[in-house]
Order: sequence, then structure tokens, then C-alpha cells
Amino acid sequence: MDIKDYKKGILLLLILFLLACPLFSGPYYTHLLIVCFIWAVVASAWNLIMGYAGIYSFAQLAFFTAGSYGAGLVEVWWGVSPWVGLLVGGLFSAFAGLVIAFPCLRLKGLYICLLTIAFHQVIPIFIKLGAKWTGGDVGLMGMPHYHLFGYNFEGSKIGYYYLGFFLFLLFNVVIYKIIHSNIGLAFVALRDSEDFAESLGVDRQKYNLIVFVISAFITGVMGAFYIHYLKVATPRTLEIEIFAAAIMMVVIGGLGKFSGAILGAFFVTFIDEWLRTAGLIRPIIFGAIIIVGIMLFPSGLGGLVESFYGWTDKTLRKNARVDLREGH
Amino acid sequence: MQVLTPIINAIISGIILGALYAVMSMGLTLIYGVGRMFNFAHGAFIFWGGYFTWFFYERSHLSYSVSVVLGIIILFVLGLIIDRIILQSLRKKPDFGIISVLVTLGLAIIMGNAGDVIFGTRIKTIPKIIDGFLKVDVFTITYHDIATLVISVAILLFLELFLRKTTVGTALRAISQDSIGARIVGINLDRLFALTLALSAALGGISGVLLAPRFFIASFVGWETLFKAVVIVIFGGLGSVKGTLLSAFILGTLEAFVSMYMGMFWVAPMWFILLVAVLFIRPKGLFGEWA
Repeated sequence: MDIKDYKKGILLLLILFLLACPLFSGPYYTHLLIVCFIWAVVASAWNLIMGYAGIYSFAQLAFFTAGSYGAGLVEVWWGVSPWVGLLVGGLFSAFAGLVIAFPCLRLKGLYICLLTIAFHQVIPIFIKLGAKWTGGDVGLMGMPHYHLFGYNFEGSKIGYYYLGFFLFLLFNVVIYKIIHSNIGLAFVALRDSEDFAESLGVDRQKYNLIVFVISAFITGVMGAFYIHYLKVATPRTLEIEIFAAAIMMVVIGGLGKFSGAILGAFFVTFIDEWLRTAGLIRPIIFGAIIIVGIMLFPSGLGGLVESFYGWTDKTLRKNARVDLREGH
Repeated sequence: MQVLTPIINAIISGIILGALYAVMSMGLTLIYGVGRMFNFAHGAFIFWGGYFTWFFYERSHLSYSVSVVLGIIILFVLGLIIDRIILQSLRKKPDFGIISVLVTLGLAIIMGNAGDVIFGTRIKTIPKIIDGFLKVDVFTITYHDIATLVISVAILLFLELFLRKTTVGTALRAISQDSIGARIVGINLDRLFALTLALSAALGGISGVLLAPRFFIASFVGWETLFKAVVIVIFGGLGSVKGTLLSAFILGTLEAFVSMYMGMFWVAPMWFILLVAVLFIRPKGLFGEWA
């Protein structure tokens, strides 16, 4: 047996487990898993831009909110179908990604980080300025529910669970494929050695635009899905607690580790839920987890998974060598 | 004269705001210059300055000036502790840029909510430095604004003298120009970095006291002031004292005009638009170095 077979087997088991989950998990854990799927995609898309492309963009939640409002507004005011809304949310968010990517093209490092954080901070103000359409602080309500072949998603979590799971699988496969394609190679090359990559003809501006648009599109679709599940779009998604939770996902998962972002999202969503009664202390625990995580476990959960696979791989090889010798 | 009155009023309040904002963001500039890091906990330092002053003045009934000084000393020590426990070990890592962002964000979240836990979530105010106002013809300026302006300018002058004339100040400037060279000639980077963080925390604390009568003291105010400080320092160019000064006055005047003609709500969007416009022309801000 090769390490690849092990990986495939574990993955298959996990997918089967998640597929079967709603049969026995009950509505509470079904709800938590739906939230996990949403944040896993957001964290994964963030990991693509921050961990793989090495661009310190903190506009991910701004993209998420842009996607949710893009979808919500066309559905509420123009009566567009929620299925089209998913696409509109993605496109609106991708547009926001382009808007923020253009000034970022000429910027480097911390400047990008600060500009995107400033972007994150002004979005709620724009939402409040357009309160007539967006509902301001109260939020936007009245999005239609999904219907599929006569099945109404309203009232039960099962429909949302499988739609969320589908989006979760789809986008993570897409992100995985991107990372392991030539585009992903270009991202990593630009991250690790920008001048060298550019001297070999990798177009930095082109790839920066691409990574912003892809990451924003994927995040925006999840934003559109999120508001249908929660039945409301509010600027609260930009508040510091959610921002802290999102950062925690990427940090705990380990920057630049594909499996890390997903594991981090699941981990943080459950911790977040368990700490719900902690009140004011909760953000303090979040902050402490971020700091301790960076100081003591810089490679995160993703690093843990990698070293586990590395260990399995080594053991397998050793056993294989022993087999060969015995056969000799 | 009738037409000019509001304009002159806006310019005056712009200058006062500018001085205030310069003190507020100078700590960030110093930290970036010396350590090449951005301190997101600065917003928390700012309103903790207000918190401590409130605590000592309103709760412990100490005199106003003693409260302010005590608060600043505590923040100075806090800066030293944070550097020793968290930042010192991380500074040697190759990807310190992003690590410092994440760590200080975590710190900002902790400090922001710790403030609420320790001092209570109720919004607090501290009294003005001096009550009353000065009336010259049609213009009125409160004494508090004048005091703010005088104190801010005094702090900025003191800082300038400190950086130009003292040995420590020269060493700080040397590090910001070439940290490897500075280390070679025997400058102790760790100690000076700790000093800079402590100094910037103290500066943040002072500005928190000056800002408090204007914006109240609460954890969300920390984030709002942080947003303002972020815009000011990138607008002026990270690490540039001159740039921070200039951009603080430009953005302060812009704020005064926008809030007079369009309303307070438009201040942040206008700042952001101006910031993006400047970064399009000068990607490193007004005075950022082009290395």
C-alpha cells in the first residue's frame, strides 16, 4: 500500500461520514456542520490568497459580506431566483475583489494588509449609508427559499446541509486543483521569491488579480448561501468577533496548508459554539488562542496532519524495505 | 466675512484634529520604523489610556494630572511586558511581517475586551482639561481644544528633539534606516525595540486622554481610532515621521470640512477614497521610502 491510497481511503471515509451525518446527528449538530462548511470554504479561499499567494489580504469578510448583500439585494428587490443569487453573489464579490485588487497591485506587504483592513472597516458604513435598500443595522430580510424539484428547503435543515456540503466539496476541490495547477505554482513562486519568479516571466500583476478574483468569487457564493440559511444579511458579519474567529481558523489551521484551513474552520466553529456562554471572556480566549497558536504551533493543524502522513509514509516505506529483504 | 466664517472655523478645528491625530498615530510610525511591524494593539493602547485616567480620576478620586501620569506609566510598563513576553521571541522569525500582524490583532482583541471586563461595558467620559471657551469676534474655540493643541504640539516637538538630539534617538533612527548596520555598530536592537513599544504605548495613552472628551471611552472607540490611525500612517508612508505629521493634518482638515458640509457619517468613506487615490499615485504613501 502506498501513502496515496491511505490518504484516499481516509478522505473517502470522512466524506461518507459527513454524507450520513444528518441521519443521526440531530438538528443542533446538523446546524453546526452547515456553519462549518460555510466557514471552511471561506477559510480555504483565504488560505489560497494569504497562505499560497502570500498576499496579506484581510478583505475576506468584506468579500463575504459583499457576496451576501449582492445576492440579497437582487433577490429582495428584483425577485431573482436564489439559485441565480448564488452566482450573482459570487460575481458581485469578485467585482469587489477586482476593486480592491487594483490599488493592491502596486502595493506590497503591510500596505496591502492595512488597505484591506481599511476596506473591511468602511463597508459597514456604506451599508448604513444605503439603509433604504440594505436595511442598515437591522439587516436585509425576506430572501426567498431554495426550491429543488418541488422540494422546499424551508423548515428543515437537511436541504441546506446537502447544498452546503455540495458547495463545500465543490469549492475545496476547485481550490485544491488550483493549488496543484500551473496557476498555483505561479502563486507559490511569487510568494517565495518574487524577483526570481518575475525574471522567469511570471506576471505578478496578472496572478495577483486572478487570486483576488477567484478567492473573492468563492467567498461571495458562500456569503450568498449563508444569508439564505440565516434568513438575514447584516453588517454584523464584519464585527470584530467574527473577524477574530476567521483569523483563528487560518492561524490554527496553519498558513499555506490546504487541509489546515478546513480543519481550522471546523475546530474554531465548534470552540466558538462551546464558548457561547462565556460572554465577554470569549473574545479574550480567541485572542489568546491566536497568540499562543502563532508562538507555539506555527504550522498549525495542517502541519500536524502533514507530519502524521509523513510518519505513516516513512513507516510504510520501512515495512516495504523489510518485505523486500525477506523476499530476497 | 460671513462666507469665510465656516471655512475658517473648519480650518481651525482641522488643525486641532490634525495635531491630535498626529500624536495618536506617531506611536505606530515609530514602531514601524524601528521594528518593521504594524501594531494593531495601538487602538487598545489609546483607549486604555482613557480607561486608566477615568479609573484613577473617577473611581480612586486622585487629581486629574496624577491620574493621567499614572495611566501613562502603566501603559509604558505594559508595552515593555508585551515586548518581553510575546514579541521578542517572534522577531527572529523570517515571516515576522505577517506574524506580527496576526499576533497584534490577537492582542488587540484581548485588550479590547479585557477593558470591558475590568472596567465595565458602560461608555465612560472624563472631564475636559479646562472648561470654558475663548471668543474672538465670531470665532469660538474651547479652552480644551487650545490645551489639546498646545499639549499635542509640545509632545511632537519633544519627540522630534528626542529623535534628533539624544543618543537613544539617534540609535532609533539608525535602526530604522539600516537595522543590520545598526546591529554591527553595537546597538542593542532588542532593548531599543522594547523601549519603542513602551514609548508608543505611552504616546497612545496620552492621545487617548486627549481624545476622550471628544469621542468617549469604549472598546469600539479603540477600533474606530485604530482605523483612523491606519489610514493616517499609510497615507503618510509607513515609518515616516514627516509623512505622518503631514497626513494627520491633511486628513484632520478633510474631516473637519466633511463633517461640516456632509455630516460625520461621510468622514470614513471620504478618508478611504482619498487613501486609495493617493496609493494609486504613490504606492508607498506620501513620504514612504522606495526601497
